Amino acid sequence: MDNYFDQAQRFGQMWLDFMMRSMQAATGMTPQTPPLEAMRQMRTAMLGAISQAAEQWMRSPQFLDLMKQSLDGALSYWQQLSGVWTQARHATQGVAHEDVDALMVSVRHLEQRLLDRMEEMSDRVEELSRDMEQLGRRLAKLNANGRTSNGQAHDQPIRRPAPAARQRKRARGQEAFNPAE
Amino acid sequence: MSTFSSTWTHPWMSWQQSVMDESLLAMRRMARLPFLWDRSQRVSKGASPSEIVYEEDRLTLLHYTSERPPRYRTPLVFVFALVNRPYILDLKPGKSVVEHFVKAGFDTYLVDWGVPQAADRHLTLDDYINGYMVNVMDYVRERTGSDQVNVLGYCMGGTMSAMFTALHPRVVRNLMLLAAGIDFGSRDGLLQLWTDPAVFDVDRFVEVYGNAPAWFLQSAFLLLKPVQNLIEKPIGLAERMGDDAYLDDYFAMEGWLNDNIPVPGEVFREFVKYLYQQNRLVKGQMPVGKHIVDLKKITCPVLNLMATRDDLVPCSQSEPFNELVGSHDKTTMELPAGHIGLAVGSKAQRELWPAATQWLGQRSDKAGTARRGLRKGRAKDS
Repeated sequence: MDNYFDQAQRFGQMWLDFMMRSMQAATGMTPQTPPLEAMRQMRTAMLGAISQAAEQWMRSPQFLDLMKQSLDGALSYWQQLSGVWTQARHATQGVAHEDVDALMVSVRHLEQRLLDRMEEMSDRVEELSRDMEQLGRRLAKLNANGRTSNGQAHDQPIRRPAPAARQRKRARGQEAFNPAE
Repeated sequence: MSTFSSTWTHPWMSWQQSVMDESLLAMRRMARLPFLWDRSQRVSKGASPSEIVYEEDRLTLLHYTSERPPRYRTPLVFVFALVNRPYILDLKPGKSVVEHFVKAGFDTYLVDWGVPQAADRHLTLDDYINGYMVNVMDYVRERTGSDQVNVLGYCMGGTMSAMFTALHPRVVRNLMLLAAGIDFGSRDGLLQLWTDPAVFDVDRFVEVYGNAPAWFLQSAFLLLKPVQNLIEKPIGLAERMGDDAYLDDYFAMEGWLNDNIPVPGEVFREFVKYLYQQNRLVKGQMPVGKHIVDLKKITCPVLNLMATRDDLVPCSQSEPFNELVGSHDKTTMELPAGHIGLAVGSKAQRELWPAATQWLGQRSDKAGTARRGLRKGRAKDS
């Protein structure tokens, strides 16, 4: 019952709004106002009022409910129709839309798995190349440290720790492998 | 007596005269009706000369050619929405956003997403943003020799461009958004109400229809302003049928408005669910594939263009963008126009686009300047 009163109130509001706009348009007119211009102003006022009322109506819970019902109805109808078509095609050993869809989903999953693996491999390759770059820089530094003051490289560019240092390292069990010894 | 009669008879005579004049005019307009159909078919799509330089699946990349070489080294890529055709940005001479940037000296490209088919229903935002857009930007950078690109995104394309920039910040030099939805928390627009989970079951919709059908999207857009679209527009056409310039504009615009395309189902689902319903982008929870979009990672200069009378993407959806990014150089430009008027309206053509091209020009390097950017090491070694 309240809904009817609400609707009546909204309709009344819309009508009042239209009348007010028409009066405002009319007060701007004089006997010299061209008749068509007067009619256009009234038409603009009327359409403006209807547009506002339509916007209010489309924001109302009643409209949203109506929209939901019509959409649900359309979806149910399409689902049923689609189901009937699928059954008919399966009965005649044909291929239905759903079968193609299922195949597409499988292909998509396969594609996704492949892409994920490729991304993993690409990350690993990137990591490896960063490590290689770092190693290259360290080697270059070591080579540079092994050069003489006139720029000539030593015969043995890798510096060996002093004997005392080696003994200390041996005692600690930390000596690095040195093929020259 | 004569004054009394002239006071009453003069308005009556002028009314009678006006009605007769208007009737004759109306008959003259009606006589043009049979030729309207032919006129509507002669409308061309796109105004500026272009060539297709890249294709991938349904996507094509257009390059706008110019007689003069570009003034700026960094190219500009337009990214449009998935719901309509992109030639609105190059509708006709004098109503073309592309024309402004080409004349200003930018090497301009436009992404045409193509028309999705049923087989594309499983494409996701990840495919578009981290797949197609990455490939397009890589291609443009390689083709132009530039390390970065300028990006201009319109509407849904703006939202996607913002996500792309957040995920690939080093690729984008300047970002321009045109009526792009970012914050979907308010209820200013009707679409936010209509996509509420209590009203719209997007999962079931995508399950049944696959791609979001073009007729469905077209109906929703028409319903946003039913009186304007279904009553005022035909009345306007009837009254101005004798005006050739008006007819050209009318058919160009109507041709585009009715040229809707479907949206891939999964993209539609992600957009409605994650943006309209859950508003994840502003919360820093928007998933794109395995990545989460963090708008704070956008640090390039941004220009946010908004239409104050936009019913599709109200200002409240676009405004918060500048507060959410990590950029220091942030500009906003507003125009009293609608969603499409922001691109092709007369005021936008006169005021907004010259200002936007100037903004971009101030933040772009001229062609022929020394290379800067990501590859300093390579330039030094050479």
